[in-house]
Amino acid sequence: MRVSLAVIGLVLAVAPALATPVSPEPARPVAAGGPVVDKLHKDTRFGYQLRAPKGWSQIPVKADEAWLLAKWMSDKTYFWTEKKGGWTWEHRPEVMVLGFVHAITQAPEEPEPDGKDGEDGEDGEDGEDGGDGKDADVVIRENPYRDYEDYLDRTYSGGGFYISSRKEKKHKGVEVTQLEIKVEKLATTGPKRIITWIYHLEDADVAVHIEVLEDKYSKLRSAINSTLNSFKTIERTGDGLPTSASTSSDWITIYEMEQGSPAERREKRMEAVRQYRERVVETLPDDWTAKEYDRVFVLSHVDAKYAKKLATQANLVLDWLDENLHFVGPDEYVRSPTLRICKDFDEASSFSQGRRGGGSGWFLFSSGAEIVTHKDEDGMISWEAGLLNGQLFDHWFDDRDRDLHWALPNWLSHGLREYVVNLRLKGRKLEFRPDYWDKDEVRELVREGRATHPRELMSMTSSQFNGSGSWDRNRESAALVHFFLSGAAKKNKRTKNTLPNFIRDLRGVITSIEKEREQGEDGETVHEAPETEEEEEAQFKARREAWKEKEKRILDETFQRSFGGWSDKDWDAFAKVYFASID
Amino acid sequence: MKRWLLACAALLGTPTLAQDDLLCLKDGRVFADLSMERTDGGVTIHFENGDVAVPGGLILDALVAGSSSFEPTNDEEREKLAKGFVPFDGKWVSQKRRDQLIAKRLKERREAIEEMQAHREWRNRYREESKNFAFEFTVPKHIFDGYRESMEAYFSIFAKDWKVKRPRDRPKLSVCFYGSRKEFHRTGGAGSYVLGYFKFHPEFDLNIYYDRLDPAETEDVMFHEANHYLQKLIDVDFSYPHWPGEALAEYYGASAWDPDSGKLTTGLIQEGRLIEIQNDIAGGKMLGLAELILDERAYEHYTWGWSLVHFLMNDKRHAKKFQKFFVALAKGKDVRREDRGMGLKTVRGPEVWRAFRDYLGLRDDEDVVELQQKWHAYVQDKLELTSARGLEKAALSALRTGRDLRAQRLFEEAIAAGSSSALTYHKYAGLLRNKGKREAAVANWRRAIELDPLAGSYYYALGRALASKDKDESARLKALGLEIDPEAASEWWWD
Repeated sequence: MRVSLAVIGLVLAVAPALATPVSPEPARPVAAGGPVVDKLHKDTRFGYQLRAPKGWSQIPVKADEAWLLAKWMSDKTYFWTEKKGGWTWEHRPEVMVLGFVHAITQAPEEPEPDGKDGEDGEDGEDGEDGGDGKDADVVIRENPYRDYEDYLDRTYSGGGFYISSRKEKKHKGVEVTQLEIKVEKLATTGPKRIITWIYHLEDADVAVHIEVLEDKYSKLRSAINSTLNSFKTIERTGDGLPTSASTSSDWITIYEMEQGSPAERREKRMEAVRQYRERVVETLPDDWTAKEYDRVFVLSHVDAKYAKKLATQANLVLDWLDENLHFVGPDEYVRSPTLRICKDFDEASSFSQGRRGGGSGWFLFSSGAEIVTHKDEDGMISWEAGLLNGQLFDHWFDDRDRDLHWALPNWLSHGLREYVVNLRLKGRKLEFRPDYWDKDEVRELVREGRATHPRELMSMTSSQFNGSGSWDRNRESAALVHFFLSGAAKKNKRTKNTLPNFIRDLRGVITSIEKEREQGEDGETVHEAPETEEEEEAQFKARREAWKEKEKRILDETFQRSFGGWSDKDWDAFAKVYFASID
Repeated sequence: MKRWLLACAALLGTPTLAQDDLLCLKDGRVFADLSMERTDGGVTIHFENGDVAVPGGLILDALVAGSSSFEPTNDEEREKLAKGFVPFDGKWVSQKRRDQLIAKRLKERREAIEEMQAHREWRNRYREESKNFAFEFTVPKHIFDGYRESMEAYFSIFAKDWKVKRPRDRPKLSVCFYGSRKEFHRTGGAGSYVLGYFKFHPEFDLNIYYDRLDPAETEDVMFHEANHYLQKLIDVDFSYPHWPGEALAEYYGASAWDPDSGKLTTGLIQEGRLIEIQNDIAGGKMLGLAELILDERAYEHYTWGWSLVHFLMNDKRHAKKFQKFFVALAKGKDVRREDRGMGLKTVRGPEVWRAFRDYLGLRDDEDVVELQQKWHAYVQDKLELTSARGLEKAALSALRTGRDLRAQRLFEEAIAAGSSSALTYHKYAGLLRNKGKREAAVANWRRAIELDPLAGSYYYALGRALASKDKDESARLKALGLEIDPEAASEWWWD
């Protein structure tokens, strides 16, 4: 594959305003009833009704969703097997209903920044611009989709697609564009067919998009046609059509949540949680439940027992973090996360598709501290339950001290997170369940004398850590942090506080650098505009090195504070005990 | 291609009957449903927001409505006209016959253009086989033909140099050639940063696109991706490690096809990659041999890795050893291969490094250091940007990395070296404007428009530059830009 660094470097993530939620009260009663099947879906805002295929479940729509009006997924899984490779893939057909309001899609192109950061200023005396004609600012905008095809171009991730048929028809008095789309190249889960009818209402297009495996199309054709033909306009009531594609403008942003005193931040975060919960509950399908379990708000599409177990684990993990990392941002309030438990992987995946910003990790920056997970047959020992812990760790650490979280050296960031990932619910308590595969690998490294000395591991920069052999270093980091938290290190007088002290020292170094920056003494050169190419090259080199130098400085100073008094002999003794602990 | 040009010339010099106007450019773009007029040497399109003159050199074909009247200039012509005859294609024919002939020709050419337009959609793509490849494509045929020939020549040269051939149990390589970047990403399914790809499982499939602004880049990508296929022919069950696999593909990617002589030159300078290396060096980075080879997935395999292969292939002492090493990775009995899944074998980084040292005869660390020094010296002293295109790429790279002075010098050098890239003038204009040199910027945008008068973003940018000077003209140019290309204002989005 040929790739261009230039392009990689210039792709800008178009971020909605950094936003987040929170709310303390249970917001929605538990709904009764099983999955919604063959139920007439009515959208009185856009003014249409539609009957989903029989036996397909409704998927929730995200609280900050601007285009997707409704979604269903087949309860039945279909399979596709490669002809030569022999791989078999699963796929669940889906219906998506998308709304494209003309007032939004046909609005004039948003003008480029005007005034001083856009259009030219007056000429200077020499007949050239006076300097205020610069395109100085990078402006990140959320461009609305122009139409269904544009939406597909910018969001579809199931493979390469092309329109294999396009017809213009009339359906119950409504002009309809009927598209047949084939997904063939690099098709994930196999070649697919998408049947989309775009109903052209007076002031909006409503696109009903149905996706199935190509070789299952003939089997599902009649259900597809039945749904498409069930579309009918109805009277609009309530709010008018949306007037803006931006759903994020009134969310409380992460930035807002990080201003002011700890008390003010607490208030802002609690308000954000309330705001988010109110909205998210409105978008829940009837057969989902919403319930608060202590610090965790759970949106569930699984049995109450499983939801409770997962919520219990989540609460215990948050408690564990409070207790064991109490020295991290002790005055900060951690938002109560929302846990969305889908009934299975496909449902979680379908929910996340088209999500602004992509996968579940995005929750940190989007409109809610929401973690999307799903029921796993392996229950609390599953990989999925571990992933949940990892996301809780990130969320907790960011709310407590984002700068510190991001400044953690790789060994500590990975090792600590991995430790939390491996905490699992047993009865009413958490127990540590090591990854036995990784444990074996580390044991092998130690036996063969290839294990990294802890001093070396702990002083690695990110490029050293992530270079060749990074898998081994990840495993070794997990083993080292485990040793600090649970091993002999915790029983030894000298090392029992090593980890907390290291983190405190790191915080101390960051604080010093922040102060220096405020006082302009951080050594970061403010470059004047270069006058020669030589000066420009020197500045370029300095810019490239600046980040590395800063990282190195943080590492070295922290290391010096924590281990300045350790001799080679001390390190060797420590390494000996540590390696011996890897049994 | 000649047929099209002749047809175009004939039309431009011949009265036509009223029809919907249609303009087809050599780079494959087609403009329709617009009012057009023939002018000296070209066609003028009447947009709502202004006229755009398109020089004949850019035009492949044009169907432009015009007068069918004939004005005699001497007695003989007046006499013929009185008898009802008019000149057509060097002969005197009746007016009715002339109108019939013109109508017939117009119909044929309209159909041809419409057919070409229809084939721009993947569902109507062309399919064509050559000796070694099965092509599917949406680029206009006259553009495709050159690429097909160069692909065959490329295959022949590599097959001869590396002693490979297409396995009998494998079909011809499927090559999908998309008409635009947008279509490549949509239909090819590749991520936004991918320029082309070769899929090797379960069937071989090569996907590339035509970049009308940089056809040479299209050729580079095509040769690069095709090289992955050719590497497969050494052993179809082997998957080459990232280095040297990607690096050799880059080496052969820098090949040039001369359609007139039918000659393909390989192993040229990958100027874009060289610029990235130069940026690294300017930033204080010199990659070592072991660091490069031991890393199993480094981006630098495309840049420094390419330079290493270029160095080895161009040194008689090393070229054969390197080729032996490359083949041995797949076939050598002394190389330890491992499963990589999907029934394929590969070689891991440490073993690649060991084999490299063995085959290159590097007995100890001193030998490694010596070779590394020679390679670094080669990169710094021997590899140079030579073409206007290389200078353009270097200028764009400097611009992206915030080195405006360097970019300005390189843009000027590229222009002095004969750059005819509208994009270069456009980018240079943007830099000049950012530096407050508006008049110079405006001059460069006007030059960009001369070179590519149907690129909406150039008008839009020029309009912005004139905002404080002439608001009406600024508004008109921006509107014209959007009329030509509704996405003209969103150039930054992709750029």
